[in-house]
Amino acid sequence: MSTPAENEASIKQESGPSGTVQDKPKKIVVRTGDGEVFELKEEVAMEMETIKTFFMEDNISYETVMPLTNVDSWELVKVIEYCSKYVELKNKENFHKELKAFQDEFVKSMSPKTLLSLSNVANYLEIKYFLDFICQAIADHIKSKDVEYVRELFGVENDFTEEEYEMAKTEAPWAHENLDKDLY
Amino acid sequence: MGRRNGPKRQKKFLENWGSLPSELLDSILESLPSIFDYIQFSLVCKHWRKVALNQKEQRLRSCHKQLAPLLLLNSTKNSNQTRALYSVTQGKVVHRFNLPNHRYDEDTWLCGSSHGWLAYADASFMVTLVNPFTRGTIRLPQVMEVVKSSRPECNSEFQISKVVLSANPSLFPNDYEVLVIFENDDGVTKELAHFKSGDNSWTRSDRRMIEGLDIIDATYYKGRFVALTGFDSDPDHGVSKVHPSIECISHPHELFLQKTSFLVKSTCEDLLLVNTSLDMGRCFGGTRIFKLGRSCGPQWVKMESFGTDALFLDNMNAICVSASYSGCHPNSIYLLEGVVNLSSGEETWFKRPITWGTRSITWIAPTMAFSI
Repeated sequence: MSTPAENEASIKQESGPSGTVQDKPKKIVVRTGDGEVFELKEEVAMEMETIKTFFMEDNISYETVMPLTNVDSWELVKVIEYCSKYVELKNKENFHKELKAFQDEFVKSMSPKTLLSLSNVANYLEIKYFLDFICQAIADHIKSKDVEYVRELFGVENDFTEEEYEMAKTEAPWAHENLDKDLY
Repeated sequence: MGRRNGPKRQKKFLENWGSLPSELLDSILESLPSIFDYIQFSLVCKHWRKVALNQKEQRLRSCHKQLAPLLLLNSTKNSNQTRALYSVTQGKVVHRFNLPNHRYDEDTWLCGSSHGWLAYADASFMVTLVNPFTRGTIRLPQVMEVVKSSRPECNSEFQISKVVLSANPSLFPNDYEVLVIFENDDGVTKELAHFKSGDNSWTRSDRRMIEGLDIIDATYYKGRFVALTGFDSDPDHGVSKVHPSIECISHPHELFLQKTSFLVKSTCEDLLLVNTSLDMGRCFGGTRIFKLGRSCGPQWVKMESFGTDALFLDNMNAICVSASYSGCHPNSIYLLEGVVNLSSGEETWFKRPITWGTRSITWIAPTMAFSI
């Protein structure tokens, strides 16, 4: 599926900063952890607090290429896709409805591992609305699932002692009995 | 599409997702309002548990209002004393418990579900409160004793039809009240009895006041019990003369046949009157909702919908919860057989695991005792 991101952000060869002229739309250049360089529209880049702070705080020139060492290129592509759409829809009348349609499509074939990677990136880049959205999508994956499933999904090990575990369970004993099997 | 094949540095993934930053876990947990999910989350590992405990305060505050009621069923196991609790949001039985040692035969029946406690009454007018979650039991003194002394001619033709609590006795063991509606066999003559924790016996409503009053339903609302009386009741009974802690409010003008009226508190603290049929097929077209307004004296204001609430209804009980938090459908009525969506008219039947009769089945609000 060709991503709209490829329309919004052009990927350029690493050959030095482009000589920008004042009346051209401003672009911000970043380099991902795996060495790819991306050119972002200013309005999209400013949706990410981390980038915004980097350039705004010390009045750093847009000619500087900002390193995003914790972000992979495929992740950035997805982030750009989402943020661009968000900025585009932001002031529209049907904002919520259209955003919801886009969100459903966006996560449709994403695995939990993908969502987890994106959540880390969203956290690192400090994009609140994107983070909330990704976390909701992750939560939807573990809704109504038992603790074993959740551990496996996240690759987490149970570090409780048996005693500690039993103690924790007493908080709501009625939530632990899975009785469908023995009722019949 | 010129992507440059640069040196692909291996990015450092978190090897153990369990060490996801707390803010991330916190955000994920916030999108899991269900208490079941919260509990599973808190048992994953120590780090996750810590995140869960941090959210406990804010959850506890909204907890009892937001949980979807569970459905009380008879167990198929050949035991009169076993009961099961079924979750409609999860589509399965989630708990089983035994009724306390008692003679549970035809002479004992379920007559109330309030604040997470079930009320059972028997032929000797003994009311027992049972909490299926904490397995607590409270035996209240006989209501009948009071009746007998003032009305020697009274016999067991009277039946307790509804029990309402003012608060959860687990949380307020010394400060809860109980209201009981009991009726004569003809279903016409109804009386009220009141009990406060610490009392030795029940207080019956004054018989002279009760005469001619048709009591339809009762609930606890903003500090007192409210009894709904028939429209053609004597207007002089308007304000509480029946008993100091009971206020009587009469039914709105429109009284619909073959439908029942219930009092229920909405999640935004309004007192609602719901007049509807408990029959799935007739529920959608025939539901009327009123809100109690107080402009010049109590009056019922017609409402168009339940808004973001969901209503759980059976023949002795009505509970309102916030749909989004509890995982239910908004503006919908949950009957014993299924859900009726009042916005769309859609009817969804529950996948019933076993068959059950109607008298001993009710909705019950789950409670959770957090360790301090």
